[in-house]
Amino acid sequence: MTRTTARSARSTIALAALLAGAATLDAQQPNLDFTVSGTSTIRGWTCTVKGTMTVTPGPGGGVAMPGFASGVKSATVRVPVKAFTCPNAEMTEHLMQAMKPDQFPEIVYQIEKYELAGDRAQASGTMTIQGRSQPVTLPVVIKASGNGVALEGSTRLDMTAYGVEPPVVMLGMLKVGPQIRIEFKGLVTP
Amino acid sequence: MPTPTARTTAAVTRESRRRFFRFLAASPLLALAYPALAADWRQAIDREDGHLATHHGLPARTLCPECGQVMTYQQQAGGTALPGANALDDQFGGQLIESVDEAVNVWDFERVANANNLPVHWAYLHMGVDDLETRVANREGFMRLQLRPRRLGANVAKLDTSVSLFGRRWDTPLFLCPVAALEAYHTEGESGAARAARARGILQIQSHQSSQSYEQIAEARGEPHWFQLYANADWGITERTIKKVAGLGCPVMVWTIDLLGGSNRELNRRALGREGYTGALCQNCHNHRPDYRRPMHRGVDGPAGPRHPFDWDYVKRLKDATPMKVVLKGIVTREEAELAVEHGADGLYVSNHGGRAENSLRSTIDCLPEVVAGVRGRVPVFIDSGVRRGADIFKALALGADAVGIGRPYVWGLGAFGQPGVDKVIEILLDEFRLVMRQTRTTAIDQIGSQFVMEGKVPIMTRQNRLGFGL
Repeated sequence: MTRTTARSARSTIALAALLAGAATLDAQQPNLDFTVSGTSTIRGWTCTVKGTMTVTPGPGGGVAMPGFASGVKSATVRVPVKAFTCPNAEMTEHLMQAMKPDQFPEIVYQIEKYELAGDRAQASGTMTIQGRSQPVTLPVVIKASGNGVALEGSTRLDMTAYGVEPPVVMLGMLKVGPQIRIEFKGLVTP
Repeated sequence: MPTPTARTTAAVTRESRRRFFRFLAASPLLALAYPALAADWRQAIDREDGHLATHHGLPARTLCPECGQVMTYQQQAGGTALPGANALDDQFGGQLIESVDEAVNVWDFERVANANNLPVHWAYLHMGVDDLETRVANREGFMRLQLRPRRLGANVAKLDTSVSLFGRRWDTPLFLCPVAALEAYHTEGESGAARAARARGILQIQSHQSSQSYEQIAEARGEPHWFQLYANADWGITERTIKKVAGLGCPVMVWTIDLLGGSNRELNRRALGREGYTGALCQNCHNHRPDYRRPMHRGVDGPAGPRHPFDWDYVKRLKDATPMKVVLKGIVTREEAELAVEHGADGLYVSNHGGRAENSLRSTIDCLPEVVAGVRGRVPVFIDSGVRRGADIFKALALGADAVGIGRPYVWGLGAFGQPGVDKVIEILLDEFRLVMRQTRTTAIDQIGSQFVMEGKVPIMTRQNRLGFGL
């Protein structure tokens, strides 16, 4: 993992604290809330899921900090597809049909590098959905919060770029739009 | 705030999208393919086509007199070169933004919400009574009022926009009006609006016809909120409803009295009668199944009660039945303002239901001064209907309102982008409002008075409002 620009020492420390803190978490313990929103020919929709962020420590150009001197090798966000919940059972079922969780149980975002500006980071990495990978760059707001680090970010994706067919139900009367918005929010405690 | 890179990317994406739709608008095959296109594509093409037609002084989407098919402007104009899109078109005609970060004013959410939602639901939100004249009047009322700014004076670097209502301090005088069935526009519904309102520290009033229960909304909000009541003819049902919400901690009940005489909602009736409307679609989105009852109408059955007339004694009856404050929503005259206060109303709410009650052709901002005069400072005065700008909030406060509500704008935000859309609508309005405070050198709400406004002769309306958009 490489850090391409360091404009703010404070944010650098915050991001490093975030990554370092996540590394100490139990890998199975969800620490991020994900919200996925989209449109349809009827109304907008939102589904939610809890995911995890894990960090592999080690040399790789990451930021040194007390207790984490060797830097960060990689950071990975994982979202369990089967855990998605939508406002009603029908919607959840439609989502599951589109996402095929038995074949593709996770959505994975592998962060490969980041840039810093104030309390904002621009994370770049690879998003993998249904076995297809695409480069994704997204802004992340990082703030110290109590003993941990709060992070918040969002991005927009086109489902079809990952081979996901937007649900079409009721003989085509209801069509889900291909563009979705992903928001995530979490608190990582070192 | 988006990074410069993100903003640039969004602008490039938007321009590419517009070029694409402009290309389609100019295609000779468009007339054949047009009926089969998705609604949002048709709208985007219409928009580009309209721009081109307007540019050349031609009508958009006219029918060919010989073949009966839709003619694009390009076909009418005989292949005239396409002019570039410009900010003027977007400003006055609306645009289809793709993210909240692109929004410049509240109308930027209107077109998106329309494109994203079922036509019958949109018609319900969009309609005013008769031919929407009172909706127009609501906007014209604000646009007739002129501002009288101050150039020098107090240091406006720090502004206090907080207001006190019934002993509770709120961050701003802006509040979210009760609007029915918000899940019809986005699955987040009232809870999405509640989370946005909570984050901004503003008041929210739940509709009696909400898609979600009082408990759900209060949980999203993190505290009890105000509740709007439609009184049932059966006092027993009304009394049980009141006791239910009071028991859940609701501090203020807003009784809507502007629909007791009925209303002529023609657009709604036409939308319900069209071929495109199917019960199945509505079942899917807001659960209008045969035995479905909206949450606030559940659990209030019981022995039939007396059927009291809706007269002034009813105010006392409500007050005697609950410790909640009782606000009357729909007062628009001085005479009734005086009577309402005399009969114990704790607050008055100037409203014509967003132009959906009677077709009075009279805006609420025109009604406000006489209601304030009737109240004489004894109880707080609220206002809604037609508020679209921070300057409108300022004008209403200047004429004596204590708090100012928005309805459609936040539902546009919700229908377009869910909670982030509501949040952005609130942010835009409050930014505009603070701008006017700085322009008038006012640093606190109690400094805003009638000396800052005056009535113009005619409303200055510049937004295109064909089919009611832009109102």
